[in-house]
Amino acid sequence: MVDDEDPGNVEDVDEMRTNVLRPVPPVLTSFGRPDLPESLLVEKVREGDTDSFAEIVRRRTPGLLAFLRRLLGDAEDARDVAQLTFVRAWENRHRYDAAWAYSTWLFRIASNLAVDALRARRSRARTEAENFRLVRGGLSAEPEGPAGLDRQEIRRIFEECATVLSEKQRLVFVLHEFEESESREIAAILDCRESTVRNHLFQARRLLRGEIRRRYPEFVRAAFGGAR
Amino acid sequence: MSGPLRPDAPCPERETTLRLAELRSRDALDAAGESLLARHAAECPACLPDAVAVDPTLLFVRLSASAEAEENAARSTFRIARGGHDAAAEAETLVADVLAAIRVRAVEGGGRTPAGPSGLRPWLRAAAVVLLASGLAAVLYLRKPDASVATSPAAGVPAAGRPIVERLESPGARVYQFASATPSGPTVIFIANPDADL
Repeated sequence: MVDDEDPGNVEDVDEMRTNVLRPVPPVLTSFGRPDLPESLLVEKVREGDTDSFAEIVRRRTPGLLAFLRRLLGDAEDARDVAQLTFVRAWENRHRYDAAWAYSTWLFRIASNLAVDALRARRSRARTEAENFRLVRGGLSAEPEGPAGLDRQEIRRIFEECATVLSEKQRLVFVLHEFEESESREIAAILDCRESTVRNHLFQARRLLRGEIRRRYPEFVRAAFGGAR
Repeated sequence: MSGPLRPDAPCPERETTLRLAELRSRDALDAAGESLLARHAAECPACLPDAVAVDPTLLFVRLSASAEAEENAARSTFRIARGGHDAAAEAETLVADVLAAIRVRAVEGGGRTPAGPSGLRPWLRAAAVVLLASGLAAVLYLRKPDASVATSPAAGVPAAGRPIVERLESPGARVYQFASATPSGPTVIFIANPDADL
């Protein structure tokens, strides 16, 4: 999916941060078009209508940001990638194929950009996860069961364990388990076959099971008194 | 599937949950079963530890979009209203930033041009054509009867071969020359150079 022709490929998300900090000419006006269906908005976007594009950004931002936060585990990175996703979608508006849902097109761009971002920070994330485990191990005398964890802690455990996944495996796992997308939808986003999606999911689960068992054996022993 | 009546009471769905978790741990659970299991595990604090013990990846069911939405819905209306406002404000900020970035790029004049049929591809096609033409020219040049042949002291060159007019500074290179069927026929020569930078 991540190829040179895809609009999602970027050199650096930091570039976006630099751009938005520069002094800019007056921003294009956006009065909003809440009454128009998205298909019509997309048509107008392809003709270069920025007001329609602003409305699409407005509508799609919450879902896209939520997905990117789950995938990247970092709100600031998610926002940067979301912003770059929309810019790429605008720049490549003539390449949008109406055979696909516009959301699929956006998620495809976002996925490519997110995979690049994950690759860029992979080694850093691994180091941080190891440090977190050390700190946690040092502070927690009584290991908590899974039901006692809040979502933030579960998120941290995921970030920690997901370092064993490839970017594609992580992407598929997040889309399937967190976004609750079907294999067919994921295949469309990744531009691959459903069997490939299922394979990535199978491998991701297998790796995560092993990693959770290794790092958190107390969770596995919790129910069966160490029988498992 | 429903949860236990009291937080400390055993869940009546425990056996079903464990059976589904077992199937999931073997990747043998269908989509409907997975959905049912995930929803119950996310909601039932009594079943979650047991389910996680069977399939540790069920630890993450509470990170799903639907579980998050349900947890948010359980909060006070004030927080929901405030959250909705935050989301709208966040979207508006992003809209402004995106439009500003688009404007900047437009003013900069193609710092990032669309990589579509009118963008990157023609250059790639042109580069491919140039490479192909160069390769073809090289082959034709080598096949000319009086063409210069690069060679090396390596074995495999007949003693009555073409004169050496060019040195090939590569110790591992081998030159193979095949005799033509007729005196005026073309001579085929292969140069195998493991150090060649292609």
